[in-house]
Amino acid sequence: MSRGFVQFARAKGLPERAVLLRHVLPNAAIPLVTVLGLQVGYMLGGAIVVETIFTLPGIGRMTLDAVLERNYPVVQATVLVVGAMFMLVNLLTDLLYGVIDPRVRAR
Amino acid sequence: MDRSASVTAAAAARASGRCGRPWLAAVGLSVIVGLGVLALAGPHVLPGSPETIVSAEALKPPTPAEPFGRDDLGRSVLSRVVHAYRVSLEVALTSVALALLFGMPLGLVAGYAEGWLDQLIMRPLDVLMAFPAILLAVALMGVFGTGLGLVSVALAIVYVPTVARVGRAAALAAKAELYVEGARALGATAPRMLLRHIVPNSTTAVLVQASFLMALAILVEAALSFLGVGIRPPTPSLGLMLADGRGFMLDAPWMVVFPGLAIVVAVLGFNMLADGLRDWLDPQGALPR
Repeated sequence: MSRGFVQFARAKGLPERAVLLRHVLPNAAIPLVTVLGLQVGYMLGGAIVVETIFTLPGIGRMTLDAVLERNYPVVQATVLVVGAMFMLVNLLTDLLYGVIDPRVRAR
Repeated sequence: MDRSASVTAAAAARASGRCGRPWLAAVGLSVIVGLGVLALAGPHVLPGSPETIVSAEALKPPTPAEPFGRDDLGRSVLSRVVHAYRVSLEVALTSVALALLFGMPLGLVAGYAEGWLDQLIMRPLDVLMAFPAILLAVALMGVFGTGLGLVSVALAIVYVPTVARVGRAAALAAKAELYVEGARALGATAPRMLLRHIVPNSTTAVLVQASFLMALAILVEAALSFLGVGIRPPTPSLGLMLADGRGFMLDAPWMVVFPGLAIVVAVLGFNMLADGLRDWLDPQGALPR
């Protein structure tokens, strides 16, 4: 917020909303997206607990039931699927960097 | 004028090794020391056993004699919470110690060697990192079975990649320092450079990470026990107590409130310690996260 380009945007007479949306947000978005991407991973783990508490029939409970029943093929499958989801989300966040910030786009 | 004054103040704080919130580490540390003393001494000082069943007093609300009330089998909730702390801290300490024992050497060697050895060590650990912590722990418990020692081992496996990453980053950073180059120029062998120069300079990062991991370990242990794949009953565990109390939540809220608060206090303590340590030891915030 104290950077030169923000001061310049204000000096141009832009309304504060435009300054925030056009100039501050794009520059603050990269760490934000990184954290969001990692949070998805934690949420996939938390899903097991939440689905058990609220008896939701999701992939988390499926994993847990399979573990408790020693149903190893199902454990393997669900763990793999969740791992793949996590990797996809991470790939998406990495690709989003390029959308947000043209400087990191591949030539 | 104003800005230059604050810059000088920050520089002075940095020079004296203090920056940000120095009370944070102290508060966190005192919370943890308090809990540690409670967990170590509590079982010997407090009357009553966590496993004595008094069916006549089942679900009795808190009284001055029994400040946390009694659970559905008439066991003392206070006694169970104190004993459960012992289990939680034991699991957290063992798992973090194991993770450091295996993760640190791996990470340091990977960061020091670089090249193919780095790839050989870090790629498999990256695979482990692709799975969310709780899911991986649940899956490992499915393979190992349940029990106190096994929870620690499972958590240690979950943590090894994190610790190794921190160790690797620290080794990479230290390797570029002039004094390490100097040691190399003097003909120091690789093990000597690692142990004498790189390890001491990476302890800050590892210490902070270890204290974050302790908080996480307490949380994950509680989650695993809650789900029924962690500590086996009748050993008291905070997660097990939450699971037991869930059915009585409306009739006997003390069965879930006190174990829940106990988890909050422990996790908060370790997180504050970690945050405070980071502010204190590493004012520039250069730690790899």
